[in-house]
Amino acid sequence: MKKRVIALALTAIMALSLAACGGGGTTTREDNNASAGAAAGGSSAKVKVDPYAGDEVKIAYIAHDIGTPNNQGWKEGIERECASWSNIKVDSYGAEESAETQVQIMTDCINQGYNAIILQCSDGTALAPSVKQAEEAGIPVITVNLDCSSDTIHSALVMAVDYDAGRMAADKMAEQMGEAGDIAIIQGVPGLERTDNLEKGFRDTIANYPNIKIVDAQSASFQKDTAMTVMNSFLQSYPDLKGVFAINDAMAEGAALAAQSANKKGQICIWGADGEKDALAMIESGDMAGTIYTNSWDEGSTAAKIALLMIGSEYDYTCLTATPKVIMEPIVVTAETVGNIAPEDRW
Amino acid sequence: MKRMNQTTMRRLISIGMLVILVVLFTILAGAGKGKFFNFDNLIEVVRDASIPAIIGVGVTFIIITAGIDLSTGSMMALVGMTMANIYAYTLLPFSVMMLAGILVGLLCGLCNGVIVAKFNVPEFIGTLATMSIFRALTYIIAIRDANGVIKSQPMNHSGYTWLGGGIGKFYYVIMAMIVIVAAGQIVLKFTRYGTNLYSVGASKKAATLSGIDVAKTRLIAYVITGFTVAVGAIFTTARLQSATTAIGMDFEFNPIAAAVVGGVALSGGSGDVIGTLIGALFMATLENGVRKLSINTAYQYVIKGAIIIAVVIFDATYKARMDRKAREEGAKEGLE
Repeated sequence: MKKRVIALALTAIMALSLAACGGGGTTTREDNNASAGAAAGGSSAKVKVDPYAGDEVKIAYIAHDIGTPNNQGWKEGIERECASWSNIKVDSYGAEESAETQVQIMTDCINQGYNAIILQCSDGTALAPSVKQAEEAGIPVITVNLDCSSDTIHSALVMAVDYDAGRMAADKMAEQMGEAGDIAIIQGVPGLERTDNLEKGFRDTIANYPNIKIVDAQSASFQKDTAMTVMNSFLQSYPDLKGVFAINDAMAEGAALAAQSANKKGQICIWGADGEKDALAMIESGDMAGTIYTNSWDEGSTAAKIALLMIGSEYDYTCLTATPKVIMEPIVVTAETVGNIAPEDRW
Repeated sequence: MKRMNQTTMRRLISIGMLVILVVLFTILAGAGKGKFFNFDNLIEVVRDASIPAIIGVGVTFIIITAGIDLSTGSMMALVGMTMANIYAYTLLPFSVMMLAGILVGLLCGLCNGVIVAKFNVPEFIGTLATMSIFRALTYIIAIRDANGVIKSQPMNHSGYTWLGGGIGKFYYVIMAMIVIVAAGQIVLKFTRYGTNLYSVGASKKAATLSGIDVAKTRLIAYVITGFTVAVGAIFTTARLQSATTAIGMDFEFNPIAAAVVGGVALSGGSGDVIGTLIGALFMATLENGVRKLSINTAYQYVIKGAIIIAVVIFDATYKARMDRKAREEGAKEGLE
């Protein structure tokens, strides 16, 4: 204990003395316990603690909307990862789908001195100043799924595939449709990078199939019930509709329910993306044709692992010229392969 | 004299509620290092309360006339997106961006005012309609990439960085709030226009009979709200350093709630801007404190809702009791 106090004091003194000569994000290692990564201008305030050696550590998880299956999956993953250490505490916050609220929570967490923040950005651009502020205060920020704008370097981004998920869904869908027919897209809230990229990947790939035409694209704000309405109007306007690609599973489920009540179950090739439990069940029952599955629990626990790595080392954003990305394994799920996803991996 | 008593008592109640909340959170969250009651956190509470309080000034004016404005959140988004367009597509200076934002705010307010006051559309329906119109306009003018997909526009202009900050921890948004609240209070209490607002709220018929231009009074209240919304939007974009289509989503509830908690009766004719400020502080304290206690944030909405209902019930019963008393004493309530 005494040693640690001395180490902390040393860190502080060195942070001060090295402030002027940090340069280029090099870290200086003086001895095994104390080190100081001094950023240019002396802004790195990071104090090293070791989560695996019993030091008190608290991690904040800030979600865009904590109620969704995805967010619950990440939360669960983060909590599972930290559960083995009684000295690690995880607090979860929901931003009620508002970037303004999320920025307020970020400031709050920085003031409260969390050791790391795991963040699902409501809006990458709007959150960028807060992420920068946190990193400058020595708090590593790990973003989940939604990156903040590219020039804001932070500790890590853990994400499900976006562009390539769209590509894979498009290829598999084309195969199932016999490479011909009309497709409609159900969009989420416009302006979110991940879903925009998904859609872009899908459109770019479908362009390779000359006989497949994207006839319409409407937003259903990620909501299941809105997607039902949108799907109904698609069914009215395009009686020959062969396929629907929804940007997330909740909307694909809504579309499938609408198709079901129009007695078109199984006739329309409906795809989603995410791989939540309900969607997998609908693929089994033949209501949906497929989805791109990502293990949310693994994604959450990966984010937590990186957070603990960053907390327990002198490695911080000043060492980086770009945000490191960890991309979770995408699994194409169709009626044939859905059985491969074990019940314990369904979130 | 009676009215005076009621106003004072109501003020004491809202201050009391705020103090109780602060004390409560200090005790509950203070164990250990004092997570709630420290300078950094309290200034953050005031910062979070600033934007609802600024917009609340305008909304208070409207509620005093017994009206309501549901379009403030969408209006914020439209103002922000207008500034984003100027930033993205022109080289005009920061001052022009701000002026354009304020102009759009004033125009939106005028729009609301004309619909509600000139064409006598019920406030609730009129501003509900403009709420969706302003939001849709925001989507229409939103900045898109080559594929036509809406993107959030970063506003890295030094002006925004400056506005988002402050002198040390004394943020500019807090200063703006103090100025606007003070100005609002002066207008309400020391100008003819302020008196007219109360008269219109107490009874439109009586106000008309005593020669007040009711439509004009209400219209101006909506235009003032447009101005305060524009100021709120400028500070919001400054803090986010970007404009998104989602700004102000579900926000319209906040200034209304602040006003109601602060003693501005929805039935019109009573309350003031200082009350709204206290209400905004109360709401921000509640939000911040609930986070400190690590309890599910959903409860915060239950508490908020419950407090608003309780306050409204109190206001209604208290008013009824005072009215009855006044009648019993044979004293007619003056129109002032």
